[in-house]
Amino acid sequence: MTVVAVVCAVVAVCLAVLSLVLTTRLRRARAQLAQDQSVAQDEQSSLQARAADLQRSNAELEQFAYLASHDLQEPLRKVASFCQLLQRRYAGKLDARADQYIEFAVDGAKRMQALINDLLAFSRVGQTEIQPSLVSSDTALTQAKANLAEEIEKSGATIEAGHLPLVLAELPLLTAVFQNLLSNAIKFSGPAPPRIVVAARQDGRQWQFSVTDHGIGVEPRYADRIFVLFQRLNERSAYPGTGVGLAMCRKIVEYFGGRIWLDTSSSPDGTTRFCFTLPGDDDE
Amino acid sequence: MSEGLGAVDVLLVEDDEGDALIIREAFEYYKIRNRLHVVTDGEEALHFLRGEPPYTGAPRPGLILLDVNLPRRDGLDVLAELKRDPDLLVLPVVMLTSSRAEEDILRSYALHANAYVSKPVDFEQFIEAIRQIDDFFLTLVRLPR
Repeated sequence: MTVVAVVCAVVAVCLAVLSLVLTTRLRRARAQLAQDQSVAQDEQSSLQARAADLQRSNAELEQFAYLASHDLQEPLRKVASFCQLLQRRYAGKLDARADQYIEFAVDGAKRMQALINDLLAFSRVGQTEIQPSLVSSDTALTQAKANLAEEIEKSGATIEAGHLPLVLAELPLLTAVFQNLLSNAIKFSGPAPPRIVVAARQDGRQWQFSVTDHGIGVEPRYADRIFVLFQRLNERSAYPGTGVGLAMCRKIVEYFGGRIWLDTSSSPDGTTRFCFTLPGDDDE
Repeated sequence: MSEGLGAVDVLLVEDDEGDALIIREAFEYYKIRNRLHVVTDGEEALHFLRGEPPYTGAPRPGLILLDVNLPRRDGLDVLAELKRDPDLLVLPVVMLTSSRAEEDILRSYALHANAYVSKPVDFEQFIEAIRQIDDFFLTLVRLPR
């Protein structure tokens, strides 16, 4: 009996100790969990705060770019105009050095005007209240070609296009995408007349467009850099431009929920292919 | 000009001295014989048109070039005032402005402006625009005497 009683007592004590240990552990675990949860909550709210901060600073930056480019236009127009007037009236009447000064001033002012115009157009993307609607990419391409009529004629470019679909976008912005890509294909064509192929194929709910040329090509290592604002890979004297075109294309395509990239798989023979996606008609 | 009817007076209402000078240069460059008069705000414009001091004896212009953004009374206000005045409402008014705001364009035409022209950013295009305005309003079209 005593043995049984002792064993029982020992077992009871053991159980009590065990339960105490377990309870303590459980409490600790709970406390830890609560702490973890509150840390997670803190982290989440700080993440949200950072996202909001980022969004705000992005919006501010866009607003700044818009205001800067808009308000700089007026004084710059004065600088450019009076440099041009100076040139018109006094070129050849001073001396060779003065003519060169004026020429540089006119050239600089004109280039800055081009930059500011492009920057203004860039910062305007997505600033409208207009909701994207179904637009014909065929019409956008036709308008882009019309806007580039002079370059196309001068370079002898041929532009082939297959069937082009309806996509969710805004016509002027989609036109700007085609215009920038075509204009690049013409500008970077090398000595032969540019041959450009525009195509589209359906990929689920999206359409994937491609603009292909056989010009001087882009080295694959620059595939990302070319989409950055003001990035240029070539001498300005050989290939004039502001370095806004592709950044603008990216901003537009991403604004409509698509993406744009340089297809580096087809680069070796000097083929350059830009691809971009845009959402299509949901009901199709 | 081509009709040999002699020079016409053009009133430019423009507070920006640079733009006024460019327009003057455009007149000179294209050998436009019409006389350009410049006033720098809306009040002055109305005094000029009504021949009030200090513009007593000012000629009646055949064409008014009116900027939208003016100090004191802005261009739209002046336009409204002109079109309320039975003596002045027949004068053709071209809004010539750096504003590209749709609202300004709409309001100008609603107030019976004869044309709305945005000052071209490019200098060559600017002076060409001046020549075309002059050519259209003072050579091509017939205006009331």
